[in-house]
Amino acid sequence: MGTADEEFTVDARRDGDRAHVVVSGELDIATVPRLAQAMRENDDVGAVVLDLRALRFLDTSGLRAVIDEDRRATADGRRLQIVRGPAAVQRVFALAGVEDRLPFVAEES
Amino acid sequence: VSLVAGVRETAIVAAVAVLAVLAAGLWTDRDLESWEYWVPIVVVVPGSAAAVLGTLVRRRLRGSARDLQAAERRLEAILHNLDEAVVVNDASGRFVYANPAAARLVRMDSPEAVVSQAPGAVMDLFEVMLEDGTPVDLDDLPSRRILHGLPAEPTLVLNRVLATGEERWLLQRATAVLDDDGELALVVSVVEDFTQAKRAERAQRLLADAATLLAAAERPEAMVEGIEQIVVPRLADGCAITLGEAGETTASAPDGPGRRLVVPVVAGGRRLGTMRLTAQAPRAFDGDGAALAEELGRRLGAALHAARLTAERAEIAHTLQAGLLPAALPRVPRWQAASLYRPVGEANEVGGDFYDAFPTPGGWTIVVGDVAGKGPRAASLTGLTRHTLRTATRLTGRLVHAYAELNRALLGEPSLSLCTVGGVRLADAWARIVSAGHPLPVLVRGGVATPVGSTGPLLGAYADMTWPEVSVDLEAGDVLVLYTDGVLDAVGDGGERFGEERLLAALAAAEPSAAGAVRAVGEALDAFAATGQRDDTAVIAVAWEGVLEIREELPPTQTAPAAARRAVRGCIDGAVPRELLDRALVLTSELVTNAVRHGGGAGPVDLRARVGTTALRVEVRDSGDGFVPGPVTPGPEGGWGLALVEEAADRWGVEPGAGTSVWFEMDLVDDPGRRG
Repeated sequence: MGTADEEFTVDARRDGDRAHVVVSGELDIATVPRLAQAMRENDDVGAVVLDLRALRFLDTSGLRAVIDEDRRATADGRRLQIVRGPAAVQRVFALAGVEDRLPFVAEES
Repeated sequence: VSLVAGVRETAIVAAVAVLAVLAAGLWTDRDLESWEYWVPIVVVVPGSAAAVLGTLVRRRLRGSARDLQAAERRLEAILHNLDEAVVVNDASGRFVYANPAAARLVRMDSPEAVVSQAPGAVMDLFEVMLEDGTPVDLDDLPSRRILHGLPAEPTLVLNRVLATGEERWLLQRATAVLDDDGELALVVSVVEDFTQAKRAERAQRLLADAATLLAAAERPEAMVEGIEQIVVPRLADGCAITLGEAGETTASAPDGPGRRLVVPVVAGGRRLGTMRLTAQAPRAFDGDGAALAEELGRRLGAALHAARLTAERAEIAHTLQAGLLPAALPRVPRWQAASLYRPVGEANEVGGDFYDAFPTPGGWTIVVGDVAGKGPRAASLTGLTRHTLRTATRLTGRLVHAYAELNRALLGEPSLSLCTVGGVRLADAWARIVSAGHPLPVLVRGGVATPVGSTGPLLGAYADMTWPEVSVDLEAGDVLVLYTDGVLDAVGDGGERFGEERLLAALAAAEPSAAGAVRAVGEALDAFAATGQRDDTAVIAVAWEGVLEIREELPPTQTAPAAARRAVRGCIDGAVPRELLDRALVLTSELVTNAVRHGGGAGPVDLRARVGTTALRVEVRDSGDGFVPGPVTPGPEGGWGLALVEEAADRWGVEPGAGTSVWFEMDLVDDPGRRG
């Protein structure tokens, strides 16, 4: 049986003072550490874009991870933008009532 | 008729006689004395004419000499006023006589002008054809044949005036006049103009062809196209019909070398379109041509109007009929459903059969019914029946209550309104059957088909009725079939009815699925009643697939949530709407994540999922010492997962026991009547 580990990927790309972190697959208790690690590796830039468009699944473990990154960015004075994921992913943010609190954008700007 | 013909022929024969005398004068090349005129009239005429014309002449001229004299006196006047052209040629072909009708026929001013023509010169003015357009050898015309001593039959030819293009239909007859020695003296030709008769015949044939075509065509485009093809080339060289525009009134105006004619396509005083005709011949639309075109315009208009009415009626009927049936059978988890509906007769009749399927508390319900009657009133009653059943069953959850409600509604109708209904309420492994005067449903299990249930009174007849409910436990693979009596009453080619026995046999042999049962009934009916089904036929079948359950033991690691999601997805994917599946996967992930985090990690995580008719249930048990559900408000330390479960599940709970068991349920059948 395959696991979420095998399907989950996280790619980070640096562009000057800006970092792009693209996640794909399923984000749950098994995969959130890899997101957290990739984000921490880019703590030294002024702006980070977290792209959720290729994310297929997210539960509240993933939700907590995203909220955690938002808090850390705010505390460190980094600009964070989150590119919205598919409906199944956005529905979890909506059910948790945090969709309006997070810095979502339709496309990276 | 024979009298008129007799008079005419007598006149012609008398004319022949006089001409014979005139000819005698010509032969002797001297002026006759007045008495000499009388001699041949009295002597020669009866002799030679009788000899030539045989029995006809004998019969006609049997009268006395005085009669003949009287005939002679009237002769000139008669010949003058005769509609038929009469010309006389001598044995050399020279004209010796023509009457005024003959002069008119060859477009000359006077009979004298005709007589002065050289032999053959007159015919140069015309083109002579047979009816099919092949040219006629002038030597084949009766007058020429007589000249050549051949027998001659009356001949009908199409004669076209070269100067004007005008066409006439002419019937030519010719008779020989012999002299005393039996030698040919004269040829008398009589030419009748049949143009009017032929035109009328052609017009009638054209109108008859148009009528046949318009009766056979169903679509307006086919009618227009057909008329255009009939008109060309019989009436015109070109024809274009346009529909739906107003404007141009009937007019015919010269247009270049040919002619142009515009006539309306009309029905009931409304202009539906325009027919434009063109022709090369300069006088093509003279006389009856224009009238014929206008008649075609009226007939096309009437046909188009009738087609439009039929289409509108069919559309209304289709709309009414659509209101009798659900747009589509609902998709219910763990059930298959299939239906067959065959209304009787034409598109614009509306049947009283209906079926319906809809979610009801705890499951779903299917009904089949038959409202007495046909047409708009039956359709309206059927609509009332179907919607009363649907609404009342959804609200009360009980078919018997819905039947009572419908019974009251039908008894309140102004005229006797009867209806039979067969209904089945369905839940997991369970069916409850209630019949109101309707054929009982058939349960097909393991290749055996058995009617199930108990029949109660039909609806709309008596007040305060009750209906027996019969519950049946279902096994996976069972098929229940409801139908209307159109199935039983179908008449076979031998005159006998389809009947229940054939139905049960067909169902017993059917592939054990809803679609298989419906297909088997349809095919058995087709094979049995090839020539005609008499009543509406509705069949609806459902098959119970059994509850779907999975159970998996997952290692208490961080990969357990993903594995649990995969297992649940495999269980319900395709059976539920996508949005519901997404929610179920998130909730499963939450429960398994909690089990992994808080379950102590000593034993496996036990996942159970169950899909039934109405709900998906997922239960996750861990090996922890027990979980006390605290506040489900998320905080920094957690609670997000259960908050989401509370939000997205229809029900959830915690079961005590060995370890902690948390479960949630999501309703699968979309039932707006219950939510809301």
